Amino acid sequence: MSLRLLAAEEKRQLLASLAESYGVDEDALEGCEVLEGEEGYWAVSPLVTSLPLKKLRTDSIGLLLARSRGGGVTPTVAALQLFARPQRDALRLSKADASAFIDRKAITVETTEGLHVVFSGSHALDMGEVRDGRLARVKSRNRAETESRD
Amino acid sequence: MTSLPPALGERLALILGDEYDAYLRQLDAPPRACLRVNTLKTTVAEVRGLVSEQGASLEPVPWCPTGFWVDDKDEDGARVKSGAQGLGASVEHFQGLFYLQDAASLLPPEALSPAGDDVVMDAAAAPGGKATHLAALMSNGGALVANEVDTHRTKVLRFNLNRMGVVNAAVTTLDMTRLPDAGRIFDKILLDAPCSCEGRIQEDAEALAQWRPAKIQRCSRLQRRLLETCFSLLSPGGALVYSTCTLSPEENEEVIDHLLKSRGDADVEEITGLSGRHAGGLPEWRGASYDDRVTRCLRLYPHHHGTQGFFVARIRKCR
Repeated sequence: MSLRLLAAEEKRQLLASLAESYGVDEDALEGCEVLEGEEGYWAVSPLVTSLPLKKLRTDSIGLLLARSRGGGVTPTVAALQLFARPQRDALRLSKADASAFIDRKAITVETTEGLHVVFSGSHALDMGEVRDGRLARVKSRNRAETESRD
Repeated sequence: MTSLPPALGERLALILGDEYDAYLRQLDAPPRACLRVNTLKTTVAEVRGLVSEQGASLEPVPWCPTGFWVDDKDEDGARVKSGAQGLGASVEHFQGLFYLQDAASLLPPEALSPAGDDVVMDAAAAPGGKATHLAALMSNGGALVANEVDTHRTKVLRFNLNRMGVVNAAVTTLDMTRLPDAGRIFDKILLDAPCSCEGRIQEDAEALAQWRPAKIQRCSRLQRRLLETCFSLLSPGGALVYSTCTLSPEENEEVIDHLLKSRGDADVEEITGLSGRHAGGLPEWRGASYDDRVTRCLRLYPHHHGTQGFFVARIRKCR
């Protein structure tokens, strides 16, 4: 895997964008380095990047933070669950609706149309999209992978 | 009642001695569900509240501050059944607030006790229960190499590292029977070695069906090689925890004894901080005497706490 360490200003811009659009807490990533690869952006503890990664036959490092898409970036489920904090567009679900949401069942909600970071309790679940008053999870290649089970 | 192959029963009777009858009775007891709170995302208090909302209660695992057995109890407080039903499909599990695993498997990471600035390897990391536990103990600091030679299993390893919010790990695919050219870079290494799985036959019908004396010998040879490689990657003064979920001395004390005989810079340390019933390593087996230091190793039998059977050794590289 070929990864490039983002310079401080590049990292600041990326995190500001994720904070603005998805409520990702910039401070939560303060201790992490951010690297850019073909798939997108990775958050990783700094000491990891000092390892002899090639000699160790490295498959992946850190946590895939966001994917590059059409000039923008979309955070992964794992990143949202670790770093997202409730903000103005956040959508909070009851336990029953949260179960339905993660099972990819569309549920009726009363909120604005478009993308929302969806929460159950104080922890994020995933990103959802509201159309015609129905909320459904946003599909992506990464999401399919992160939902595989033991 | 669970029926053991005669050769296995004979071996276990020798290993367990006076405790064999208690062991046999435990074989038919229901497995005891356990969860580990993911302190990278939440607190013990929050998970305790979430579980109690579902009518279950948490009982602390003596050797892990974030580990709890999940029990449903009746009005008099008596345990009626495992309370983990549904937890694996719960919203909180999806959010990575806890990891469901056998309580015995919490012991190796706790015995290794990594710090937040250590360079650590989990040499056989899939599916990720111990690797994510190590990351939590390191508070997502330092560096954790989560190695898995079976590339089909790295997918589930990555999934669990992601679900638990681990940012300090690199997933690698080294074959640990060969020494990689990486130098002696690790402060701490966990080798939870592939084994004959005798410690889990009470809950794993496949492990019982596949048990053969020849498998013990095959596993023992592989384990010696894996341990030698891991020990070579350890920095001077570093620590290694070797563990298995099997009871065979050939896969446990004999593997440690082999390392002690071949490496003068290896020493076995006592595992401190384990309260609750357990046994020490066996000094001899079927006419073979081992280095006295193997008695510092630790054996956890299923009838001690209702867990899988486990063996754990903590080894120091002296120079």
